[in-house]
Amino acid sequence: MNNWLSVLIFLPIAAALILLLLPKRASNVFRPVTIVISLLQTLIAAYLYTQYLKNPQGYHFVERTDWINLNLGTFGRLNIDYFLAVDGLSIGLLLLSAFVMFIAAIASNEIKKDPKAYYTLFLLLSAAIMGVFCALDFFLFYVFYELMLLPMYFLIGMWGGPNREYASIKFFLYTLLGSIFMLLVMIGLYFSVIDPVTGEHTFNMLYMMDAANYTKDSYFSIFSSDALLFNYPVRFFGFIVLFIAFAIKIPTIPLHTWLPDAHVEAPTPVSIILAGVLLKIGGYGIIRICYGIFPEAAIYFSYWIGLIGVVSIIYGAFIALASTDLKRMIAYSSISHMGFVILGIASLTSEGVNGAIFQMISHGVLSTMLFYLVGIIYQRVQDREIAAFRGLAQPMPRYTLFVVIAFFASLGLPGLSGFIGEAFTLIGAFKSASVNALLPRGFAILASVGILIGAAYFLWTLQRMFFGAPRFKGAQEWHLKLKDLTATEYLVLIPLALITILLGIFPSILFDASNNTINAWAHETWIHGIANLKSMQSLLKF
Amino acid sequence: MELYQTLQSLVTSNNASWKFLIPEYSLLFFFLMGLLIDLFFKNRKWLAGLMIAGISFSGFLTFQQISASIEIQQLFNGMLILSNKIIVFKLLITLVVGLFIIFASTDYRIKKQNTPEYFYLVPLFLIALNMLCMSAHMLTIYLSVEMVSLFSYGYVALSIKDKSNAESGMKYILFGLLASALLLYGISLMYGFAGTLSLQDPNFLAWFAKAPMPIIALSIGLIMAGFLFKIAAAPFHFYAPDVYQGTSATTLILLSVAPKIAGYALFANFLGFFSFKIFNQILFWPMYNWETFLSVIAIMTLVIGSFVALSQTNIKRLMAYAGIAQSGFLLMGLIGYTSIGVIALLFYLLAYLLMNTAAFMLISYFEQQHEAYDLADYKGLVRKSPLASILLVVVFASFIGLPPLVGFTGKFLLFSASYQAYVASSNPAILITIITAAIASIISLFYYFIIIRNMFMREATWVKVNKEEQSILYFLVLPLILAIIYFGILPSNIISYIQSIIA
Repeated sequence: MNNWLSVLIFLPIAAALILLLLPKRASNVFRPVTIVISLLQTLIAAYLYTQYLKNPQGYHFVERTDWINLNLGTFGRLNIDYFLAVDGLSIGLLLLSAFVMFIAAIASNEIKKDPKAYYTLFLLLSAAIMGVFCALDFFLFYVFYELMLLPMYFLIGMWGGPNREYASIKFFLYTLLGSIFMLLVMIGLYFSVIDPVTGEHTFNMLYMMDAANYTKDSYFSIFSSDALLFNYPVRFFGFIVLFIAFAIKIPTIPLHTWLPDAHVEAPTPVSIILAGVLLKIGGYGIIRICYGIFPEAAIYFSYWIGLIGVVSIIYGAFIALASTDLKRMIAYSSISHMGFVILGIASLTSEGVNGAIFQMISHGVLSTMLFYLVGIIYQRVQDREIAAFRGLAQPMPRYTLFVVIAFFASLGLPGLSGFIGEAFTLIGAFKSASVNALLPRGFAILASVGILIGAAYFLWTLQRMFFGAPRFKGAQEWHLKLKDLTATEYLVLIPLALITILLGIFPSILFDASNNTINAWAHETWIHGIANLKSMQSLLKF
Repeated sequence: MELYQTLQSLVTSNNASWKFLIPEYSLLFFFLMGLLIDLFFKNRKWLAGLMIAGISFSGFLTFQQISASIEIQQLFNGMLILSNKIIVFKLLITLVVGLFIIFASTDYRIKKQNTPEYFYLVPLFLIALNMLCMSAHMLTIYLSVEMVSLFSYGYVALSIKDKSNAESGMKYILFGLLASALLLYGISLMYGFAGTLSLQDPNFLAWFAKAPMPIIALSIGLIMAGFLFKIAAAPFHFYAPDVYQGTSATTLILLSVAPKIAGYALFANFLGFFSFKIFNQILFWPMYNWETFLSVIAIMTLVIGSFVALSQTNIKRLMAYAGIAQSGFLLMGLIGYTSIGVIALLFYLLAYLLMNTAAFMLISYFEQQHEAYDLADYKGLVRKSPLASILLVVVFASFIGLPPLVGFTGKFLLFSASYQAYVASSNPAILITIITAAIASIISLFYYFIIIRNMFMREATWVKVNKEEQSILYFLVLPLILAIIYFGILPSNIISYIQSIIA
């Protein structure tokens, strides 16, 4: 069987349709069904991962059929393919997504209102996420990318906290702002790129990545002599528009303001999905689409992209330091950690980009753990102010153990997964100065400062909330409520902690899959980017 | 002798033309049937059924007219024309009218007010709309515009009787009269200089182009004013919100879609006669570049529609402004007057038809069930009418242009067509239109989601429930929603079919 990716995408849709047909009374089957479906997805993804490792290069599990195929007369054909495949870049993220969705399904036990609607939307979201990582046709990618919005809007808006209306529409508006303009660039690319086999225009991303496939006079052509807009090449604007769309998703400074709001208002499982999976789509999009299609613009702007990464690291860390709400602190730490991803990508070195992918997966696991941990105390006492707790280690020692693991892994303690990701992106950033001179060494140094601040807010929070004599805002009442972990919570936390440790000790589990693809990718992006830049500079004289 | 020959050819042409109007005769027949039933029978329960049958029958006859050739048939010496493209427009209109009358027959408010003409005027209205699609001569254009307006006024006035209603009917008539006066004045100026009213006359353009520039500008401007009124585009949109607010949502199924489709058919025909490219070549005055002209209109319409919709508190006013913004999107299909542009326009009209019909059916459903007129009345409605609420979410998502719904596919085609037009002409106005349309899509998210937020995330203090009637949702609205999803995911078949018959 070689249409595993389709199974991965359509399994949850089929399950969602079945849930829709079930009567509302059957409310106690919705969660088990969702858990089983996401477990199946995880197993399939794991199987694909092991299959991929047998020959870790190129695209695997390719599915390609015509989807929309129209003959529009003089206008030519409109060709949109149903084109799925995974490579070393996406296979790890696919596995991560399936796993995070599984954890989120288990963590959904706190959802009591409208379970039918909740799990239907959950499954729909799951399908869209799988689709985003598998699609290699830009149109198909866009469809899945936008399909995530509506379920996410309702998941935050209907099951969220007091200010959920504001948070959900803000999330929706920000993402749509990016994606509508992405649609325009996508159309422009479509009319510039020719399928070398059929000679028709195409949405195939792989063809868009090859400069030879652009028609000579098109706006996005490298060899056009008049594709200028305000005296800069049109391709640069295409890159910027796509970068902004994905930078909103990651998110980076200054497009990040939706994230803390969304996290603070979202219920725990939705926060887990948001931090664990949705942010990664931004990083994935930048690597696959922005850098893949516009390598010369990526090189041209690499200084600024690196700078955005560094500023995100430091700014996010400082705000996290100042946060009084535990969930908000973790949300800002996400921004800081995703800054490393940007920095690693900007370095365009093999170490940096491998590190970025590792960091994304490691952050996916860690943020899942962190948000779940926050959810546990919030579920117990409906409060998550840092100042409201003191000495939590006494009533909840096992809980504290997991918090310590998650915090130390996040602040980059060697032996845990966070360290590897941050170290490799930093190595990449350092190396960049001597290899390709894209980033100054100062960036790597500043980013290391970010790690220091990260250590500061994690340790400080640990000290304030967990150590010392117990003293809670809710006094005696809270003492009774703050019970240690339940069986379900162990079930979620133990695998997460094990994965963190495992990835910290054997990072090759992930590097084996991504290494070949990324080495080739970094090399090609550099070679093509420089060649394109030269040809464009000579033709356009910008 | 010469006169005799001319007369003879006229008569031959007329004789040959009658058979092309068969759908219209059948409509006329059903109208007369309705009239007689109204006169002689007390029990008129089956009147609506008869009209549904009549509309379907005429739709079937129209469908039969699709011919193998793409040639344009000249009817009555070029007074009317018929081509497959026009038949597609006519079929779309017939579909709306059919859906409208099925839905209207379930509206208990219409049953109560005992106005059978509400049903048996529908075939006549459809005749007027069909004529508007087919007109090719300034006289027939004017006549059919007036005919359509007359029925529109009538339906606004016929819809539920209260004070605000009479007011909106009056406003509609006054604005309509102004628009038709402008149109008539523009036509007479054009006639004075071109020497003919026939747009297909070979000398028409050559003569008309010899007129002084200001006169051409004035004449075209006045004629455009009449057209823009029909499609509710800025700056001739002022009547729409007031008319919408005062009219029942059921009537709006008809009035918000059908005249608009006919208006676009007329607009497309008119631009076709004006030999887009030739006209741009004859007149080098920048204002008379159609692309710039249409772009400016589209931008104005998009901006006014979207921004004013943001501040509305009444659902029908909001839908009116949203509809104005949608007009801006539709205009994008005409900007380049390319073959893909016309396909995109037809497809988006189909999309618009499905979405708007479904939306107004649901709004009417909420009016009937919960007496919800203002946005505030929509609070917490998901608790009382979950299915209808979810269906409305799908419709609005499609309006915004979220995949995989038909609105997205339509907008994608429109953007592609405009991009092609931009590449072909390098006219920056088109690029600005595209960007404005993108921004308008984002704004539309905001105003449509005010309603969705109220329905799903706010709690109502008290919701009135008139009757527990859900069947209409299952047998009429749900199929429309499924069509919205189906044509969103698999648009190939329908577009290929349209493509194959019109080009």
